[in-house]
Amino acid sequence: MAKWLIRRFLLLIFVLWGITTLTFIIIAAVPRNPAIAMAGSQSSPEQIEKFNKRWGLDKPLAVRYYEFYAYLLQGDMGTSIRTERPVALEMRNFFPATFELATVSVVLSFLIGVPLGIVAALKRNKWPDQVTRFVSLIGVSTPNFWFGLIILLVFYYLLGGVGPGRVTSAAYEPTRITGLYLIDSLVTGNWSSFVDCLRHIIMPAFALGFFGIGIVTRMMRSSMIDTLSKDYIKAARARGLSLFRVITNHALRNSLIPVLTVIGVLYGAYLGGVIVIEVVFSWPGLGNFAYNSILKSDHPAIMGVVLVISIIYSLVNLVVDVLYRYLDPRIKF
Amino acid sequence: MEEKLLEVKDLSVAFNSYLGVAEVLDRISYSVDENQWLGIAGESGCGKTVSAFSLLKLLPEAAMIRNGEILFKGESILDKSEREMRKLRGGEISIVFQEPQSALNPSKRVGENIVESLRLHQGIRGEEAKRRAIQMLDLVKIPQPRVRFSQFPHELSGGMQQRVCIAIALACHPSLLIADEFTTSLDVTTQQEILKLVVDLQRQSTMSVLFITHDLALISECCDELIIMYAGQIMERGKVDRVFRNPSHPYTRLLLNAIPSISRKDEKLNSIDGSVPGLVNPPKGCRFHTRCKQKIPGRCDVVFPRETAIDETHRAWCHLLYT
Repeated sequence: MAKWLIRRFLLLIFVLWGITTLTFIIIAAVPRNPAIAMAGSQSSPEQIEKFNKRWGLDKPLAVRYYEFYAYLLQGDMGTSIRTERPVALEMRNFFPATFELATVSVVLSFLIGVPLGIVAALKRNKWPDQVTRFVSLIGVSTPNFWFGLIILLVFYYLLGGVGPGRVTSAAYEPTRITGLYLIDSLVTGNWSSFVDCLRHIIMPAFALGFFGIGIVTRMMRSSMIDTLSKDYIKAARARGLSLFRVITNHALRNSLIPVLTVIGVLYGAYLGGVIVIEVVFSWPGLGNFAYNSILKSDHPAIMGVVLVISIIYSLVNLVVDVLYRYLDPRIKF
Repeated sequence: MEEKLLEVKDLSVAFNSYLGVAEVLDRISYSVDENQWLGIAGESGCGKTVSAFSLLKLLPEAAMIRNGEILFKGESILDKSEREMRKLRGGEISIVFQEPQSALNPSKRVGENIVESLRLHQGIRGEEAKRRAIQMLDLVKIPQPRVRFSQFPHELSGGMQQRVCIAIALACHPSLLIADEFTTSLDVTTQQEILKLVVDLQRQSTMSVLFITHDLALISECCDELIIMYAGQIMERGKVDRVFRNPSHPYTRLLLNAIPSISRKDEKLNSIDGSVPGLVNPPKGCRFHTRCKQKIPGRCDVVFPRETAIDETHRAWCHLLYT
């Protein structure tokens, strides 16, 4: 296990190097000068030259590439051209909001998708199955920004629910410990804050997670049907266990393995898809930050966002792999 | 007359399939006494397993019990509620499956299955249940039962896995053990060991065994009585030695003839021409007539023959036996 973990971490470094290199090349290839994006198209050549010199954009690409890693290894992700603050600091500010949103979405997809999938498997080809099939088809095929706008329209505008953002006002913000508001408010016992945060996160999380609910439901359904046809399920029934017991004690664990894979992939999809949802719901997270950074061609900021998202995605998948081992004792590392 | 442990009367079961309705069991009757081994023999797809699962009322959704009665200890199984059936399953009637590697949950430690049964049927839990489970593993002659208890199925050999399955089945001292081809997936040496184990365990109790197999040689080793089934119908039944000495149905004769023998220096293996007919729109009358060399046209393919008594327990169903 330890050996396997070390190997995975070495691989992780290699993957991160690949991703950042690719991002660096793409940014360099885009014919757009941050100087013009920042200082405006009316800037004089002197102003642009000064700007480039200040941000080191006048240096050759190879030097900038080398310097990126040289500073990164010292924990310095550079300074955002747009906000003029260290990128690492911005990550600390924005990342928890996004991580919280994506995690709640994943949890929602799991908590809704798994039971729906089980019901669909048990009532195969009867109406509950047809209904869940229809719902998950909508979930998979609806673009999440559109779904987000509909939710905004219905729940915020027509029904007058809570407004956008993470909290109603600064008064509801919990004392910052992790930056994950739900956790911070729970830890500090701040109930009114917890409820407010929950009410704010549920809609964007649902908009982001609707797609995943669809996928998890379908996956759980087919995996459960497959498991239920196994001999050990018949054997468990023949031992006198009720159908409920058979499912909770014997079928669930074995059917969760493929679903777990999907959850890992979903995390990646959510961390990527979060950009649109955060803009729609004015969520002060990494997605919003990334969106604004891309608009302004803020090179260091973009590199920072990509790096952080890739690290989290890789770590989540590492956790998924460890969970496999827990679910299926035949898997060895 | 002593009370029968199990009586199956005129049982007919049909399956809905996309081809139509398949008549899987056609008016099957048999009974099992206490402390008896009954063998059910027949080719694949002849309804052996279906008849076993109908005893537990665990047929697939597509199955319908058309007709008949199943009495277990004098009580009708078909009238029992699901809750009552759950008490019976694993408590009074247990089953051992053909493939132990797929009959054990891959993500459960083998001992947990026994503990689960004990808790469910006898309310034993905790350390006591574990102790009893280890005792059961010891009873089925698993070496180091304490270690094996907390191992996963994939860490055991096929023979060991089947011993575990037997331990699970016997944990609550059932009155009837259904052994559904339980030696088929094992190699011949292991087969003999496992069979001997169950024979020994049966002798120590009053349990009856319903041994479903296609292997007549195994039946001759352990069964008191046997039933020969073909395509959902019973062809012949009786005490094993009588049936083997005096097979009265053409199908039984062909089956016995197909057992390879070293003393007979035949050029090729004997086999029965043709294959089991489809059970959607099965052949009329005696279902074996399509492969029977002695069939009487106009009779065998029209009406099912009536029961003929060969001796006090030996019965056969064939038109050739009466005129």
